[in-house]
Amino acid sequence: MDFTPILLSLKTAVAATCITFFLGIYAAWKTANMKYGKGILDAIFTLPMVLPPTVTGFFLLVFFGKNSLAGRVLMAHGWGLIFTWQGAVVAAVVVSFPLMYRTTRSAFEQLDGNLLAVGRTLGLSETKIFWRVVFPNCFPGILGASILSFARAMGEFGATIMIAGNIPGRTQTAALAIYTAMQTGNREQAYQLVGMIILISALAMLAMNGVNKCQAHLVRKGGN
Amino acid sequence: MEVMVEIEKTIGEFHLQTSFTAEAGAIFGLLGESGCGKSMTLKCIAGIETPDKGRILLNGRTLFDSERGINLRPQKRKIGYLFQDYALFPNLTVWENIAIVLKDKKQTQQYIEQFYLSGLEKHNPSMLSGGQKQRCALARMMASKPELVLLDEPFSAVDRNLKWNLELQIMEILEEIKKPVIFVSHDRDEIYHFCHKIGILEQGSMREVGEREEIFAHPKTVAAAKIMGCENLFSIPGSRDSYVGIPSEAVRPALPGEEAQIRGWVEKIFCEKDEMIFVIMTEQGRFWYRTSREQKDVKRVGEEIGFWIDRTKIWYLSM
Repeated sequence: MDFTPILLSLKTAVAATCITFFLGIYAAWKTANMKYGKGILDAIFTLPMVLPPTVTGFFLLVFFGKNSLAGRVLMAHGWGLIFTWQGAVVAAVVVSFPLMYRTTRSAFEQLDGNLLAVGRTLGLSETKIFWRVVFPNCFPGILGASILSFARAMGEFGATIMIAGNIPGRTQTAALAIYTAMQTGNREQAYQLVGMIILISALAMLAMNGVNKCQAHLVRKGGN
Repeated sequence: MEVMVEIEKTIGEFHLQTSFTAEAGAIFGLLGESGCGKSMTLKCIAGIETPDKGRILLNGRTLFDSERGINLRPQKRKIGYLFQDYALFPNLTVWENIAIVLKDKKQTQQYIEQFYLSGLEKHNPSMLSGGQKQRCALARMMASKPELVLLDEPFSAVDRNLKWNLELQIMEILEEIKKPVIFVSHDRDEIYHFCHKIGILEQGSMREVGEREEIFAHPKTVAAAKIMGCENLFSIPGSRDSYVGIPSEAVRPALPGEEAQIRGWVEKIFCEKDEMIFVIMTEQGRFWYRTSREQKDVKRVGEEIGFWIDRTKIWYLSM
């Protein structure tokens, strides 16, 4: 069996989750504490979740394509995103970002606001409050968000095929390879890949349940 | 050392307007029903909420001034805030909760000992009793070396039978710190135990500020009389906002042959552990009379009853 598509999917998803992790947390923390403009930013950040992935892919193509400024700057440095696995990573980041952002933000919003207030009156800096209080107390939520994002990135198809194409061995991830295998009548290959994807996704969801239990435990323990 | 507060804030329909000063050595009590704006006042002072208008000065330092555009961050205000639920960091141990505000171990150890937390250093807040949580929160607050201490209903989360010990404990600490203290409560007994100066807050407005003895013995407003537990409040005929309050010590049943100033029929009798409360229907409205359960020759429901009132003990109140 050819493991290349699976390995490519894993590589893309891991890289994308690492990026989404920080972007999502940052966006969630900034918007959770905002007074004005929260709704508009929230809508923009959530858009990739509700748009058809092909539309997201279309925008990415326009933005990073040869004719755009960003595309030309990247090309000049030899970092072309179009038809590369890095392009697949960008597609996965954009598509999985809303899941990371929304789940993390709801974890932040569930945190007792008095903990932040008391931290401030004690003279702790905002950075210290975030890393010593907010992050550890929301960790199960953040971990759950990361797992969801990873699973979403693993399954990414539409935006990936738009920006990275479907080049076997280079940008053909498992989701794309299954499609190609079916199109070319290679059922055996399709079954194998489907089996692998189901296995990985099921493991991710089991991990998610573990995290939920951990969260319930934390909530029960509570601060007060 | 003193704090001067003069703030206004509107949230939807609710309008908060308070002004008072509190000095070191004389604990200031903010007394009012829940939802009257007590906690909001504390949050404005601590910088957690921003008032719309006004000034807050602490030891001559301006913390907030809407006209001059000053609004210090809570971190810069040096105000200790003891939250109702203590707000201990649940992910940190007792030691870490205190150490987070300090730099060295020796000082943390000192606070652990001073607040009788030895042996609990490695415990999580969830493993502590109410009293231990409170000591931990107090230790953490004092470790931040506040110039003003705010206590928000410190006993509301504590079982009744533990309250006395905790009151003693807090009293001891407050006597030592020699800093201005603002104590918020809806319980007049708590306020009486702790505070030297009292402000009565009702629906966001400061109705009355004065010395404890003065306010408890001779309230001047209806709000203060109500919170002192006086049920018998009557408007003076012909005036719009003048009232009289008749405290229970001014009333006794009229003796035979004596002229009764208030006369009516017993509508209902409530029995409590040591007290009986008579609800009397009079021409002026309902009248409440409290008496000990040991009193003999009591009236029954439906019977007529007259009262003699000591005019020198009546409260004259404004709205």
